[in-house]
Amino acid sequence: MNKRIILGISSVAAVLAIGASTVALTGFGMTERSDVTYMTDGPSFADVADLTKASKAVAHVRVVSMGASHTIAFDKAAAVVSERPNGNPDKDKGGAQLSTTPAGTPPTGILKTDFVVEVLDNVRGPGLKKGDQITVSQIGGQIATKRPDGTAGTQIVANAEHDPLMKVGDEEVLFLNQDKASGAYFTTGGGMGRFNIAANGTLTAVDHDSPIARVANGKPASFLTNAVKAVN
Amino acid sequence: MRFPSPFALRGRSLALAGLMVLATAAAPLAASAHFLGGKWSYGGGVLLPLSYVNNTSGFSAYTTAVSQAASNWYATPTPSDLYSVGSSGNITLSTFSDSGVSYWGVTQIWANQQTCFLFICWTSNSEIPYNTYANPTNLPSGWSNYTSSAISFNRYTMDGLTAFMKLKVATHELGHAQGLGHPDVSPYCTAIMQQGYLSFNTPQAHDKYDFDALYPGYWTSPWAC
Repeated sequence: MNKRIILGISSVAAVLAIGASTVALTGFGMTERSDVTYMTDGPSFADVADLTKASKAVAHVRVVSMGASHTIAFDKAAAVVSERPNGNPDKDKGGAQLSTTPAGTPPTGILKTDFVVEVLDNVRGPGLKKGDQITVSQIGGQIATKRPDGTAGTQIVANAEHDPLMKVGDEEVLFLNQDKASGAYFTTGGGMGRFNIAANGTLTAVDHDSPIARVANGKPASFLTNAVKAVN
Repeated sequence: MRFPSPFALRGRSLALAGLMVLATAAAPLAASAHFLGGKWSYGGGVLLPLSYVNNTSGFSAYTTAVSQAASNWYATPTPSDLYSVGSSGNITLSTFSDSGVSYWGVTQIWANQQTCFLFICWTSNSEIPYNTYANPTNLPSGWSNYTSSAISFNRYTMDGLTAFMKLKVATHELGHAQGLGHPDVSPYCTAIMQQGYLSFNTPQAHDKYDFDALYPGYWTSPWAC
């Protein structure tokens, strides 16, 4: 009799626990978060002069708002199969081996996000003036997936390596180029063209590995803006 | 019995101290290996065959670059063994055109991740949380080996590059897809995993050392720098 009672109570407890977990996960809006980073290759810049010359404009800005993320679709191109490499005797003697890892589902594009930034100071270049609000595009973004039942699924947050998404309210010095197609701006060299300005006015290079980070980090913002203005 | 002069001793000590200072100063010039965290399933001591789907038909410059980049890795004394398939590959390579970024190539990697909440666990296939490690390091708790990778080339920024540089970018991105990150390098230590324009487009000694450290047992490339 006691065993039946204990079993019954255990069963009810288990069902309640499972239910509570499910409610906690879905009913209360709890979602999985997946942090994604795009690894990249692109032009690099040795110094401030190099970066400045590759930019259309340089501006001290404040990030005003973040727009919705969208996907840049890949070209719909067919696959081309080429011959398996050979000529490495050590590898060739083993014969052609096949991967033991099953294929995954390829993505259809990469995320991008537009930010609105306010120009606080036009450091260099024509076309921008204090008070202007311009759009700056970045690779990466946030996108929410839904489960088959319609409830919130995974929240994917994608950032490009060394070029994390800008944060609303932050102040940065941006080295900019302009997309002729959309009119939006983008930073030169991704994170290499971004320098965060802390509340105390000091600089931190967003790409902490860039050569310019070594000379600019911890210096006042005027160190960078004066260096930009001095470039012929 | 002759004793060395105290001045000679001091001179040797100074010389030794000077050498130590030089060695310390030179240390940061060496490249520290960088890995993304995690890797493809690898038993050790064997080849690492990975298939790739080269979705670049119509863009012959990219088709050639990808094929040559796979050969570049195959030619190295590492377990790298990339081969081309028509569909369902471990690595998928595509092109896109975006005039609003300055990037040339982008690589993404997925792995299975087990998440637990109370006593309920589930597995999802997610992109890996990238990091940079000086030594081969597992992904954080709950993650398993890589399941797939995708590489995309921005034709808008790359069409103007030479064939030499297109091959550099393709070889660099295939390095990422196999688990290599960007190394901190000096002018005296070069790597294909460096970003930007380079005067070479094949894996260097530092890259081979990193690869063999990540997938050990098949070959041991000497430490280069």
